[in-house]
Amino acid sequence: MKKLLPSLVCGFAVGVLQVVPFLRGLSCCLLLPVAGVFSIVLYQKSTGLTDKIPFGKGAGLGLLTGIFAALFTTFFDTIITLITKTNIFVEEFVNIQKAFSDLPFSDEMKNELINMYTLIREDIINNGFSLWYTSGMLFSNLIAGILFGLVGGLLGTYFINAKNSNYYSSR
Amino acid sequence: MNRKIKLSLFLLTTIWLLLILYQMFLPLSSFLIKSYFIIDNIFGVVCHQQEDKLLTIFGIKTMVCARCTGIYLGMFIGSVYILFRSISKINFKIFIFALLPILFDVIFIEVGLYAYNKLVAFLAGLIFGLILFIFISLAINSFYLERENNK
Repeated sequence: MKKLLPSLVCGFAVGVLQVVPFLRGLSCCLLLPVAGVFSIVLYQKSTGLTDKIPFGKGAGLGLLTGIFAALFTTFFDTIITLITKTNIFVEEFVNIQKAFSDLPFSDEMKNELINMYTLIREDIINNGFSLWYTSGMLFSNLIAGILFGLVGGLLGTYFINAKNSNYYSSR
Repeated sequence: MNRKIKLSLFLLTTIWLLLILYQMFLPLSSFLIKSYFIIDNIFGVVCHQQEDKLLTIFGIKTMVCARCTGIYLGMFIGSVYILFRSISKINFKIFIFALLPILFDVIFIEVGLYAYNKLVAFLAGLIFGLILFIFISLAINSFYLERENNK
C-alpha cells in the first residue's frame, strides 16, 4: 500500500481538479504529467531514498498515477452527474450542436453526430446516467491518463536523477 | 539514441497531431463519427477545449486550443529533428526558459494586460513543446538503456 500511496494521492488530486467546476478551467495538458512528476517526488520523500530512482519504477508510478486519476475523475463525475442530473456535457450541448452544424460536411453526417450526442444528453437529464457517456469517459480518461502519466513519471525520474548534475544527459 | 525509439516517437507524435485534426477525417467512415465522442473526450481530459480558443484550419476546428496545438506541433517538430540529429544532453535551464512564454502569456491574460491571442498562445506552446519533447526523448532513451543494462 505504501508503494501505491504517492500515485493514489496524486491521482486523487487530479480527479478533484478535473471535476470541480471552477478548478476544471485550470486543467491543461500539463496537469497529468505534473501529477506523474509529483508522484515520483512523493515516492522519494516517503521512502527517504537518496539514490537514483530506476526509470522502470518511475514509469510504473507515473502509469499508476494516470490510472488512479482516470478512475477518480470518472467516479467523481459519475456520482455528481447522478445527483445533479446535469454536467458540463449537458451545459455545453448548445455550443457542441452549433459547432457541429458549422462543420463543412453533409447534413446526414452532421445529424448522425448530433443525434448521438442528443441521446447521451437525454439519458443524463432523465436518469442522471448514460452508459455510453460513462464508459466513454472511463476509456478516454484511461487512455489520456496512461499516456500522460507515463510521460510525467519518466520526466520526473529524469529530472530527479539528474538534479545534482549541471546538465542532463542520456548517459 | 536508438533508431527504433526515434522512429516510434516520430510515429506517435504524427498520430497525435493527426488526431488533433480528427474532424477532417470524419467523412471517411461512419466508424470515425461513432468514435468522435471518445476522441473528443481524450483531448477534453488534457485541454479545456474552449470554442473561441480553438484553431480553424480549412473550416475544420482543432480538437485542442491554440496553445496545446502549438505544444503538440512543437513536439512533432522535435521528433523530426531527432530523426536526423542526436541530442545527448540539454541544460535544465532551457526547460525553464521554454516554459516562461506560456507562463507569462497566461499571467498577462489573467491580469488583463492583453486579451487572449491565438497566435501568441500557439507560438508559446510551440517553443515549449519542442524543448519538452527533447527532455521526453532523453528520458525515454534513459529508460531504454536501463532496460538493456538489466537484461
